[in-house]
Amino acid sequence: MKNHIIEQLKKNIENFEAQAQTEKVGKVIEIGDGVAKISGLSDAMASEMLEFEGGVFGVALNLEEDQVGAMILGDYKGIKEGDTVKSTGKILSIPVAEKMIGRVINPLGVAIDGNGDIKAEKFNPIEKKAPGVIERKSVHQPVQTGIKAIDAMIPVGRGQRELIIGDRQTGKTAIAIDTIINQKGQDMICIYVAIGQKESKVARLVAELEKAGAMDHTIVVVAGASDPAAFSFIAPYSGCAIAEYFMDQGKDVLVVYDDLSKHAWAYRQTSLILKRPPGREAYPGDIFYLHSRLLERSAKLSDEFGGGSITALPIIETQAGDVSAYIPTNVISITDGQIYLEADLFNKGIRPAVNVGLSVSRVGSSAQTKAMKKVSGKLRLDLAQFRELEAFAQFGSDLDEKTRKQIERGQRTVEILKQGQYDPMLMENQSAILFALTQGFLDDVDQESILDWERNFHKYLKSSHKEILEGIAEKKELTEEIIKSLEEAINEFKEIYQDGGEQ
Amino acid sequence: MKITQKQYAQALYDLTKGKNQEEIDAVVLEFSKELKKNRKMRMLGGIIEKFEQIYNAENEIVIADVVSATKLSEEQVANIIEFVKKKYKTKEAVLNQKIKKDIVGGIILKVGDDVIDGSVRGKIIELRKKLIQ
Repeated sequence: MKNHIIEQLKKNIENFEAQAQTEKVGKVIEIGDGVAKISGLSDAMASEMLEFEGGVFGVALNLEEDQVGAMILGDYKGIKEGDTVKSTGKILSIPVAEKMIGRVINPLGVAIDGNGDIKAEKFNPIEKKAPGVIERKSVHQPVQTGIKAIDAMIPVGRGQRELIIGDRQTGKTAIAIDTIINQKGQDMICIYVAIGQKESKVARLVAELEKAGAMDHTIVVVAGASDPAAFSFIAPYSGCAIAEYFMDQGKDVLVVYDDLSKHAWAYRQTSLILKRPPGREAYPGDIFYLHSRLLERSAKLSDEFGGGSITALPIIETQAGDVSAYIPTNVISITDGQIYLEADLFNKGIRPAVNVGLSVSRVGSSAQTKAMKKVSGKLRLDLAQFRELEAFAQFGSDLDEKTRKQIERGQRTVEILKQGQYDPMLMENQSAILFALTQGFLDDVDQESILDWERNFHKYLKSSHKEILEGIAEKKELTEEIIKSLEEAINEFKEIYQDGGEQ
Repeated sequence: MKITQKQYAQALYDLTKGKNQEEIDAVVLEFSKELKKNRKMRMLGGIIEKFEQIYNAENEIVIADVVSATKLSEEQVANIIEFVKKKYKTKEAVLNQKIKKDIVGGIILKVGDDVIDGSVRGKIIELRKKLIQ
């Protein structure tokens, strides 16, 4: 064994031929805060990788007459003034591989979960031009988030960019994680990009995903709060580069960028240190392009180009519900709709705290299954009417019959749309319960026992009327036949439920 | 308008071009006075550097830094100069020699932004990289 190793080494060394080649080098003239100024390097390209002494890499961001401003990817503490910097002639790229699925990596594609190295299959550039008009197709397949309120009223399609926006602690990440969990067995690869997040939060999420068995189809890209700002800056692009690798194979990918506010902060920091002029809220002038070029890379490719897709769920954190701040308005205008979460609703116990009135999906409705479409129209109307009348609810008995009924229906709708965390629901169950709700089957159920009723209803359907659920899942439609048997099943269940409560 | 170091250096070059020693002395004196008046003495180092670059470019001179482990023989120096002249297509090449023991052997040649690393240390580093792969 020992001899074998020595033989191998000898062979390797014999074959080794070092040729002296001309290299382009520069000199560090200023270093600090993760940014270096380098003299020389006269033919460096924009966003070219530069190699510092000691093997740390950087990216050329500012190309000036006789110096280059570079962002350092890694620890800049070992770099000193006067160090030589080599240009590599390569645009910043990261390794991508099939094996990344199930792993936790940093934005440079290096595994950080302690389960060994990942061998690169290919290198993908971090910045790439988004697919053009010819390569695209309109969104037509749904992404099942497993959340009733979203799947029914704010449907997301494969290839769509749907913003999740809200204050801190309103359940933004929870929606994204639930969606990832629900992709199990849906033929979807998920990439969760944590940008400037607390490492403890990421560790908790990964544990939660593992528990739900969702890590088997998920890649987690982490730029932690203690990593340099450069990592936070490139993290979403890395996530997107990995997503493109799978999309090019014709697969469907879901990418969550959590969150783009912190991404904007990281870019603002780097830009200000590079002495680029500050604009509104001290963000640099190209902050809009920063996000638009990232989100534009989400697409549904046409069949000639493999038919893959990247669905993006960017997350934006607002301050005190202010959606008219700079970054929120930018990203709202880029995306194909937004899911707006409100702290008030959250505190009232309505979770997910989706404000249905302000949330929209601009393209998702064409991707919604027919079964959901049938029940969701009525649902929206019920909720809208309820919101108008909600203020009168306190007058109780003084109201006329019709108003009272509408208020009661609304209250039940709100109750049904509540859903626990890590508890996504299948499309067929969703349409069954929403059908029961919109057809008025729940009007005579006590408001307090609605959740219990729903839970038992799903149990009952699963045990006694599996064929209905299978029918909906298969046809993705509520046909006359299914409606009839569903109505029968609901009536049957109501009798049982009234008799014994539990069954 | 702000006058850059490069512009100062270019001006100085234009003023001194083709003049004899006496005239040059006078021009340089005037130039220094002008700099002082404009409170630009701080830029002096940069201007000298830029002036050298302009002068060398105009007169087709290349400056090459050579690092070696031991002192180079005259023949070796002549060879290197010949090589540099040919590579950069210039009339003249000036060698700045430096001796650094820690490169073990061979030479490192540096011309402007270009570095040709022919040292033993550089080769050992290359070998290490390859073996790690």
